[in-house]
Amino acid sequence: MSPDERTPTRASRPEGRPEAVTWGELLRSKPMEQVVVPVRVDLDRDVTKVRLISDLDDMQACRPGTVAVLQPPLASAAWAIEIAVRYAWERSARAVVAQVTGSAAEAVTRLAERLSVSVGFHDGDPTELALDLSALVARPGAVRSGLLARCAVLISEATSVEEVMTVLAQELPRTATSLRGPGDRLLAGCGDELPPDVLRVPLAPLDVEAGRSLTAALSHRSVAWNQTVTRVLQIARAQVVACEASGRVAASVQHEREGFALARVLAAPPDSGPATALGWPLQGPLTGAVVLPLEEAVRAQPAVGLSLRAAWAAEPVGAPPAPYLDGWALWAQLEEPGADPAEDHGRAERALAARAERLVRRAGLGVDLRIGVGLPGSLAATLEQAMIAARAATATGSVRGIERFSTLGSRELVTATDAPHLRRVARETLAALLGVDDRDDLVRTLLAYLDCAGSTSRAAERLAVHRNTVTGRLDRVRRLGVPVDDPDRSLELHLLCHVALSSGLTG
Amino acid sequence: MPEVRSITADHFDDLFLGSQLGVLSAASTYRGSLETWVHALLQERPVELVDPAEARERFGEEEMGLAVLMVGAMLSLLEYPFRGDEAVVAVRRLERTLGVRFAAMCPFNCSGPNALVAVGAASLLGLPLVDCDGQGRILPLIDQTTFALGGLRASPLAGVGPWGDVITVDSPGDRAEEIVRAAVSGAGGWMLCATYPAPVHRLVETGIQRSLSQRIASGALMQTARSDLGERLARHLGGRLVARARVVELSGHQHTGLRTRQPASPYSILLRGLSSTEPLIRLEVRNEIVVATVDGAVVGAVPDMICLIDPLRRRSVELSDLRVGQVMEVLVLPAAEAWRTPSGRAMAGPGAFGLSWPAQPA
Repeated sequence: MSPDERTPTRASRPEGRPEAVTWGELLRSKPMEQVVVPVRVDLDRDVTKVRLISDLDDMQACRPGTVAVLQPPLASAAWAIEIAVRYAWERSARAVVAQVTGSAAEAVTRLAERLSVSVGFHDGDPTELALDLSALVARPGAVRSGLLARCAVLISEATSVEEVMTVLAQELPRTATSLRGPGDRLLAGCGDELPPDVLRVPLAPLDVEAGRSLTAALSHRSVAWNQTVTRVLQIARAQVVACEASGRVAASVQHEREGFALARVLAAPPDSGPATALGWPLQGPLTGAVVLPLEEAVRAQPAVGLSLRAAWAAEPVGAPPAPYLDGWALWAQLEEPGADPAEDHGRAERALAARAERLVRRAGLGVDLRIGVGLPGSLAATLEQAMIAARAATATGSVRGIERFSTLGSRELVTATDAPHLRRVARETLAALLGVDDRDDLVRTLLAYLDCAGSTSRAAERLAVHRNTVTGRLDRVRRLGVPVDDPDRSLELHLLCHVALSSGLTG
Repeated sequence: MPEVRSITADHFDDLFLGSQLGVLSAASTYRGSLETWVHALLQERPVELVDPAEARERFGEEEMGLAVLMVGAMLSLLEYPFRGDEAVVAVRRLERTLGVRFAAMCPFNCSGPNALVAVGAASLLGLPLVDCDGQGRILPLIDQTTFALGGLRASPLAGVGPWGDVITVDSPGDRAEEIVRAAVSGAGGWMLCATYPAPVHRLVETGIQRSLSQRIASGALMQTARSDLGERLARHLGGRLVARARVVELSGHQHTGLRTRQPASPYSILLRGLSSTEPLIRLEVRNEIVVATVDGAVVGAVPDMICLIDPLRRRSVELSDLRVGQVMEVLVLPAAEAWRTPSGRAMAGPGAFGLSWPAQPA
């Protein structure tokens, strides 16, 4: 092969001349829709010419990069097509298009696979096909415009982000496209690792979330192909945002509707119309749970509710999380009652607690959410209990993040009633005690002493220290003005010690 | 291999096997009436085989010779067998038409039944057989010969059918093929013809020399060779073994290509090579194999002779005998020089079989 016969490289292409269309692009063009192409190779190589081949002499004269469209009788003779495929292989022609079917097509396909030559079959007019393809090769811009138009139509018909990503995967040959979040976290599309030179189209300024982008990893790069892919991604960007916005609006409306329905049920139990329409379980003993963010600023935020609802869709048991006070409520009916109602209740509480924990985990919000679970009963009662338990979980800093009303002691119950207020009282009343360096030891010692009904030896045993240490610490507490031995203030002091420890005032 | 000067009944098996080489459609791998007739004649009267070089000295410039052949479908011999006097009737009719006595004869070709017909006729008529023929292989048309390439004409021609019908064709426009082909169907499916009347010297000059003795030698080789038959035959005949392969598909198809006078319908034989790369081999058939490709590369084409050899049965294979799964050896044997000229290629190359063909195959 002489140097002038080689496929023009992108570096050697004269300036101002449009970049040649690639075989992959041509395959996506309208004229090729009528051609079945069982063997596709070299999709990212240029097509330099389209030739109508009437005899094997023409085939011998093919230059590299040529797409050879065979004419009858050559096009329907398997032996001649095989020779043409061989010539194509020897001459680096891009593809051979013929007109055979059945076993003849199978034999040609086998040979094309062996030689790695693209081959296609059609039953249309070869002259027309060759002319149409020639026109596209002569005007590469038309192919790219066609691809853009086709993508625009298909993307506009997509109704979800997944559909948009499918269109991109189908229409951009040998290009891995994906939707990425902050830190290039994969949100949708191809999960391959992104190469350093990945094409990136940010979803901002249309996006409500920051740091998201559509990406495309190209198997071959050229200025024209980069531009085409970038434009397709730009078209897709608007649809991705629109699809998501549409979903968000629908979810938001639904969420508000559910909040309204729950409020109606709790306010006027006979008026369960909206809730019944939503298909909620309202009959029989119900077990409720409440999800409450630890951070007060996040409470009642719609975004948290929407995320919880989306997570609930993966395990849609009972009612979805509905806005309830400054948290979200969910509940379920008792399953198959057994002989022992107490056991049934315990099982229902545990099941709902486990489900609520899975829900919070699945939501993966990065926000500390606490869960409270009520006792089985009426909806209003169980949710009220669940909210108290949830507040206890937020106030006491429960390690698991979940509290069941049935296991709350009286102190935690009191703590849960108004935690901020009690913290303030504790800070003021125990100010002297909380001002010293070893305040944690002193408060724990005082609490153990009160828990053990004034027994220093039992308190020492509980704290795993010597009894003299306990008496010494209590003397220090007394010297700081804390009324340790005043029976009228014993209950107050006892509760405030709990509040101080659980609220981190001694830390 | 000793030089054969006289063809006797002892040579019959070699002649029979050797004549089948490269014949796919017109072969007869079993012995029928024709073979029985020729074998019986040779037992009574051997045939003198005259070497071409000797023929130039032995025969005068004016002494005439001719070629004999069978036209038609060999399978019709099953229904209408040979009577035995057809060759005498045809040759004598041609002598009367021309007003000459023939001094010698030669086979029209040395492939399939025509080799046997010539030997039988020479024995019956007591004429010496010149060791040359007009095709060097088998080709379907009467005027597709090196005799015609050299300027000889097939007519006047005399033909005899199974019912004793005799036709004489004198065609100034060289349309003997068309006329005989039409007469054959009316005659009963076959005709034995006496044709190409010409001075013996001219037949020798334009014919393919020593083709009959070569076929007898090839037949002898086929009887003695063992596992390496294909390679030995290729070596002996100056050709090459292009593949050992298993038949994977036999299919007729509609592709008739360019308009031709060929009486054949297109057929393809696909084989998968037994070598490690398992190449795809396609044999394109128009009566006989006209093109052989390996992975799309042309490895043989008419006028070269492409043969299918059955290595187990050690003989050539005919189309009706071919089955999917059989292992075959594909041989390409070079055509005679006369066929390699531009006019030779035009007459017997791929184009003559309707194939669109590059001027210079890869």
